[in-house]
Amino acid sequence: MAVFEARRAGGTFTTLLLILAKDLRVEWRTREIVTSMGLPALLLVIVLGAGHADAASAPTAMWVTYAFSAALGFARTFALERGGLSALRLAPVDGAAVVLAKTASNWLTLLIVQLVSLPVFGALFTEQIWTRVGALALPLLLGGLALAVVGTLLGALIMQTRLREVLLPLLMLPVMLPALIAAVGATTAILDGQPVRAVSAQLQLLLAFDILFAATSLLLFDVIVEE
Amino acid sequence: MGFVAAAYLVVVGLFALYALTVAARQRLIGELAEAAQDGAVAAEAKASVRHPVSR
Amino acid sequence: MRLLLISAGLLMIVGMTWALALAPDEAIQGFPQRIMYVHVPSVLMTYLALGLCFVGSALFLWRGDRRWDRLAHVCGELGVLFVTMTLATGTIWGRPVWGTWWTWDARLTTTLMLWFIYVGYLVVRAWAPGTRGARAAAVIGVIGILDLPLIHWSAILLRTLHPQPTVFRPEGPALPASMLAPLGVNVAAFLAIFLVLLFLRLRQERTLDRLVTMVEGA
Repeated sequence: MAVFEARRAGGTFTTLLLILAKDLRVEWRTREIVTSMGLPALLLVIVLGAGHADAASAPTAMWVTYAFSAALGFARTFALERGGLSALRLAPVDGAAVVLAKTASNWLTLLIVQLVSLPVFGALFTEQIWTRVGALALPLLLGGLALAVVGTLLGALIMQTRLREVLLPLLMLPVMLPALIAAVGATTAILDGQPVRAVSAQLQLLLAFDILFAATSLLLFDVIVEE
Repeated sequence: MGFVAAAYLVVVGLFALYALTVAARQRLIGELAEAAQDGAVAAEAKASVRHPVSR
Repeated sequence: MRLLLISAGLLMIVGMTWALALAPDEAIQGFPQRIMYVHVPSVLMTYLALGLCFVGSALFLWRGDRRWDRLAHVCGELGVLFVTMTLATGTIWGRPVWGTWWTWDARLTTTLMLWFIYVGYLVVRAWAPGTRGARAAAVIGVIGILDLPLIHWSAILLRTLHPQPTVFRPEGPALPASMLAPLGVNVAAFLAIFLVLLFLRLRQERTLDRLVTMVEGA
């Protein structure tokens, strides 16, 4: 199997890429995750946009949408994996690579949701979202990464739990709060017209958050990957 | 003042609530202990039938 | 154990009476300030419980010994008990003194998130039994504490964007001896209750573990 050869050849990074490629291939064929994340996201945007929709309410609406899509979608990525995860564990693959690959594929999926919803936010809330999209990239990426890292970690943990789709939002959101506060703060300031320099505090917090939880995920990967 | 009374009542109330859960846990232990007893007696009975004790 | 229970009860009675009737009135806040005598002990017991939960969780993940898991579990319960108490007494105190039930200041936000995280901890324990569930809960027990400085930091960031509650902070200036004494008694009372509950619950969990293995083995 390609994965075994990778272990001999390139180690963690190659394994990571192979698992990631496999995940993305499966997703491309079934489009299940993108649908189960993208549709609720779109719905949320529209419902939120139907109410008070302007530049002031845009940042909260954006991040609420991303957070809930992540919480809903990531619970499914592990549900789909059920049989597959045992196969991955039996293969002599690096547990760290599995964790990184899962996080990466979750991040990419969320990125797609963010990209697709951006025009809708722009149309319903404020055109500033389009004009400032370059500056917005940084908080969107770092915040999205935070959601992916925490969502993957917690999603894997509760894989065997009853009602995991209900449990994941409950667990994720309090842990995510600092990242969400920072992300909303940064988004607000940037939409207001401030330069990226002005939100360096928020971006630093996001970066620290990402690093802390990525490190935790890697440290605890044997708990994550076990049955 | 009402607020102080409310606060102190909440404290006592929460402790009391927790004490109730502790009591419930104790009841569970009681039931399990009975089940273990019955299980042990039944297991003994089964064993003596399969391997009769020599008189 | 019996001794601990009796001293806990006595300390509590002495502490509360002293706090309510004998302690001096605070100059600025007046009578509501007496809530401090139950709020501060609640806060301290929360730190104790969640700190022990962190230690138990981390050691359980590292060593796999069930005793650490039991400690983490019981301290998680006690943690939720005392966070609830902290939040309740704190908000009740805030209303007459600050004029509002809630503000998004760093400490309150952090405490509220702690409540959610550790309730989540208990939910995972309840919905995912067995070793797998215990290890999952342990990770949450560890994450909760690691997240703490970040929550605090972000709430401070948030505060610089929002107005502050105008009047007083419950803690006020350093305490005079006439207030420190009853506070000390109440802290001791809470600590005694904490220890009683801790040992009681630990013993219960130990017995339960043994019984479950017995029943399953039979």
